[in-house]
Amino acid sequence: MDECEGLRDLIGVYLSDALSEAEAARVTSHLASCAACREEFAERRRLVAALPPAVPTAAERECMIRAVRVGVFKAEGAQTRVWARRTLTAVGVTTAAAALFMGGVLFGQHRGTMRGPGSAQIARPPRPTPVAVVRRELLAPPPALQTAKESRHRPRNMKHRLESSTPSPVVQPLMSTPAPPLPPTDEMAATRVARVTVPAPEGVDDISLAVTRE
Amino acid sequence: MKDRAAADASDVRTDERLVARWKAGDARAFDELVDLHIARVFALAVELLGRREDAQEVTQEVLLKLHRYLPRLQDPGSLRPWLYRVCVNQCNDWRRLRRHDPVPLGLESARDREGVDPAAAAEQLVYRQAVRAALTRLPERQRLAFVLCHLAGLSVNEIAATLQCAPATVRVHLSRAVGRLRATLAQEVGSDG
Repeated sequence: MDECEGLRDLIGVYLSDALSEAEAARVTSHLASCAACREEFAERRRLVAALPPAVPTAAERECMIRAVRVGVFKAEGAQTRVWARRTLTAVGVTTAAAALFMGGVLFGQHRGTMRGPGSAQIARPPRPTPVAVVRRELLAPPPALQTAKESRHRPRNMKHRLESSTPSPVVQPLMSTPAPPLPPTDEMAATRVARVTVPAPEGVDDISLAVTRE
Repeated sequence: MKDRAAADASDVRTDERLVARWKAGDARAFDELVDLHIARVFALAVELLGRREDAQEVTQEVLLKLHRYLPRLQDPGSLRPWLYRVCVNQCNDWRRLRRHDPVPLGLESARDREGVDPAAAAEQLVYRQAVRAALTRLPERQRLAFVLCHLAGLSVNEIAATLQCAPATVRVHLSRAVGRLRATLAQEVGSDG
């Protein structure tokens, strides 16, 4: 009986045609000598045979194959479109990059032409001459003719301006271009002297105005 | 086992040859692969789903996936286990989405049996329905091993590759599946008689 119990486990595998040659020979030999196991084997073989594999009919087979071919055709078409889109995108990106590069090259060349040959950098504005600074001050009435009120509103840093070489933003345009000849005015006529000395009010240093003809 | 192993090796060589031809640019090689595997995939799908119409849909999906998978296939010998694994997964997804109760196939296949003794055919039909009912009550792995072996015609090694387990485990599943079916049918016969 123990041998029967052990071999019955193999019968299922024997029916599946999955035993080794040695095991299959052992089962075959036992079945030849044991009626109970033969009956068990017959029942199990009937059970397995009761479920034949479903075979597709000719119409079913044709229908499935046609559907697969249509699906493959659509998939290959979609893949081709994906490849085409990727190719066009790559071409577009490459073209845009090339256009930017060429634009940069041309812009650099154009900029170099504007600077002029041999010019390493844009020239700085010339330093302001004392004339430009003085001219601006001369447009205002002389300090001595100013009222006390006006003198109070005199620019406090006038002295700093006379001594500084840094141009103010207002004066700078005058310095970058040659100064045009000044129209004759009464004020200019008043300044056609070599030197003007104005008595300084009390508490204020002497103010000397020097005029230099251009 | 010798016959099935020999057939298995022959099919693997055929798969290798067809896959090599397809990769070389021969589109007809895919048609031949479809002709080679369509019947077994259909049989497996019918057994798992219980409806021939549903099995046709699933078979088409599986073969389309085969076409997408072929460029990445490294080992042609693993093609059939891969194919049946995809079929099992596709059938599980199909059942989960549609929640159909399987129609007893005994009724459908009996229509094709014309000219057979009606009494014997009816008895066979009843027996087949009982076997199918017992089959649905098996544990999943045992049921798959039994179906892949007896209905899809796979070898133990192919079943092991499909279920991703050892061949010895497949033999245990087969042995226990047949034993349980036999015990279930014996109980039903005993309760009826």
